[in-house]
Amino acid sequence: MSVARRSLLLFAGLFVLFVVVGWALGAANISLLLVQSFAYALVALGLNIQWGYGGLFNFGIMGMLMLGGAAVTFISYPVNAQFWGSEGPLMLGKALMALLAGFLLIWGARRADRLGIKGKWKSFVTVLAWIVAYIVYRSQIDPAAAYIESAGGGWVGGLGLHPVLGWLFGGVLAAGVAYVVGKICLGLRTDYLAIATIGISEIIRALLKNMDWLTRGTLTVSPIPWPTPLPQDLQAQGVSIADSFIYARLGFLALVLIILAIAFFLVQRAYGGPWGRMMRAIRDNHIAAASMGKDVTRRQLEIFVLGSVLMGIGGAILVSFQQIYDPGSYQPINHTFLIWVMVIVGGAGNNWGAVFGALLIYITWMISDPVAQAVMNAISGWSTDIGWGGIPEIQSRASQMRVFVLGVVITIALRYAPRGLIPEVVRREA
Amino acid sequence: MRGRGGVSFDAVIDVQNVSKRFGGLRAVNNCSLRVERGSITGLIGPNGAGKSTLFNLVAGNIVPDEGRIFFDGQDVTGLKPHQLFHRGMLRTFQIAHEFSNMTALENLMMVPSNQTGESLIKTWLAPGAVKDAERHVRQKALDVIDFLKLGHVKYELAGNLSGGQKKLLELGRTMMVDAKVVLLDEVAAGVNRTLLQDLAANIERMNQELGYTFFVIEHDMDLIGRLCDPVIVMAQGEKIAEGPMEEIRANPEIIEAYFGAPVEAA
Repeated sequence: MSVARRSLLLFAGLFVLFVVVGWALGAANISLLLVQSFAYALVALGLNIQWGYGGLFNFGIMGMLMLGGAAVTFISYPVNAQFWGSEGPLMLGKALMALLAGFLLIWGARRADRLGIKGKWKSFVTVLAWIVAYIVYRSQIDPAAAYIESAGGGWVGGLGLHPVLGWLFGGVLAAGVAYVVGKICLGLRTDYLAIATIGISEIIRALLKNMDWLTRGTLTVSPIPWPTPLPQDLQAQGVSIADSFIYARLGFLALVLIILAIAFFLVQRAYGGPWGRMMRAIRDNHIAAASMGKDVTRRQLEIFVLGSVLMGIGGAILVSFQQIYDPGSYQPINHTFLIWVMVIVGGAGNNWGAVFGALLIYITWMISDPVAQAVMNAISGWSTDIGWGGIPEIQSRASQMRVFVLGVVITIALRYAPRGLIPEVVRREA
Repeated sequence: MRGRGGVSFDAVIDVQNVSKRFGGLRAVNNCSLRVERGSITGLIGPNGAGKSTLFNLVAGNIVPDEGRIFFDGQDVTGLKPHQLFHRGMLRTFQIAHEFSNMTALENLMMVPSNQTGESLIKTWLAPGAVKDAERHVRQKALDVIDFLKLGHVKYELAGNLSGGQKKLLELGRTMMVDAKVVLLDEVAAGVNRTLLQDLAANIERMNQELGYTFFVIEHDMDLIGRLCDPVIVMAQGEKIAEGPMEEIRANPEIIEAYFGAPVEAA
């Protein structure tokens, strides 16, 4: 029972921390932090599935968050009438056809052995098919992209649908990409998978940053609509400006909490049952698990996709909330390694731990900047008073302190709670 | 009783001219052997004879460079371990491959295949069916645990068990499902003498009552002598002899190859 009691105490402590921070920063700020930290909790839950249950080293979380963001932007941003009225859709349609034709060509080449083409010749034909497919696709997409960016409305715009649909599509898109990535990369184990996923998330970032016709790239997209009333909507109904931010954010928070609760329930049930047991067995010893009849490759693909779904949804929620999609703003430190710290500090293999870690680390991450600034200001004032001179460039110094504080937190956590603050539970139930 | 006297030669495992190289080392060299259905076949030989490599080849953990492997009359060369499991071939490992962060009980409960709760959809939509199936699996696992006299450590993490207990757990995993063939890779190593007698009796019982075929790598010659007929001797990646243990013991060529060579601890 001590584990449950300890978890309860930790969550109580976290609650106190949020109350104190809320008291210091004001209700509007703490409601903002709450929404974002619960969205991160969803992402951390996704990583917990991949790493905590399955032992998969996914260092490409950023890519999944970006895909979620791109998905919600596309689904929920208002329709770009200029694009739909231009030649753009037709040209994109042709490019899509070219893409499909290319895939068919490659698919056919992979089956060339049925025509009696074998061995080296088959490899040659496959490579040739890839080259042809690439040329055909580029011949269609390049003029389409150039046309859309110059004359076709700048970019494709959105579909103007409900943002929650966009969140779900974020999950679906991330799942699709994770499936392809997993098919290729899951044969790699441990650190090799980590390297591969880092590379893939950088590829995704490069694509989304440079496909201006699709995402506006570094020009950024805003304002992305909310599923719940915006502060401006509340103000129009006569709510005061200060209150409108609090209530609007609490409304958004409620929706995020509902989604997190559903995800948590499903994930917890899966983890507690034979499915979770099988995954933990694969994590502990994939050779023995295979000898006990478990299809390791397929099951690892399953957890990789399932975890990515939550990451995609979480990424989409974050973009919706911030109302801006800026592919240039994604950084591995903020969008991959931060999540890892959340899961490691919180407790890999424990869903409560992952959520706890997400909340704790996100708030630590966000308040370490203002706290450091306040501390430095105080020291600077004091040192100026006694004639030693002040600290220069406090603002930029303070923002660097985030990384330092995070480093200190993970070091202390690994020293005193190597398995996390709320670690994996050994099932000793009767 | 032991085997079927070689009258009807019904091979459940049939290894034909199999070779496996690791770099310049020929671990298994053009090796052919058969394991008769219903037998307890022993596999002995000096260190580096290729016994474990042969097991890995038969169990699908590695793929042979040359040759074919037949299981139950069908060519299974290149099939994956999980596919062979579903055809009824189970194995244990020389170095215990326990699931270290799971309890002993969970180590057994994970074994049965196609458990209802292994499907996410059923886990989410049919929790009742999952719970029913789980109750059966649990009871079965508890029976096996009792049989192996591991009841006092059933909620202990498998990683914390002693070497011998881990070996027992490995044997227990093979008892969780109905297997046709069980490959035992030095299952007795590290198991105490008293328990070993139980283990041997248990293997004999599973062989006679449940019709399991056993293929056993073992260095404990007494155990081999008690359990196995026939015994196959490997040296330098090849089969050099086959026969009852008494014959093997009397064969000077084998004494030269095996007993003459420095014998490692069992």
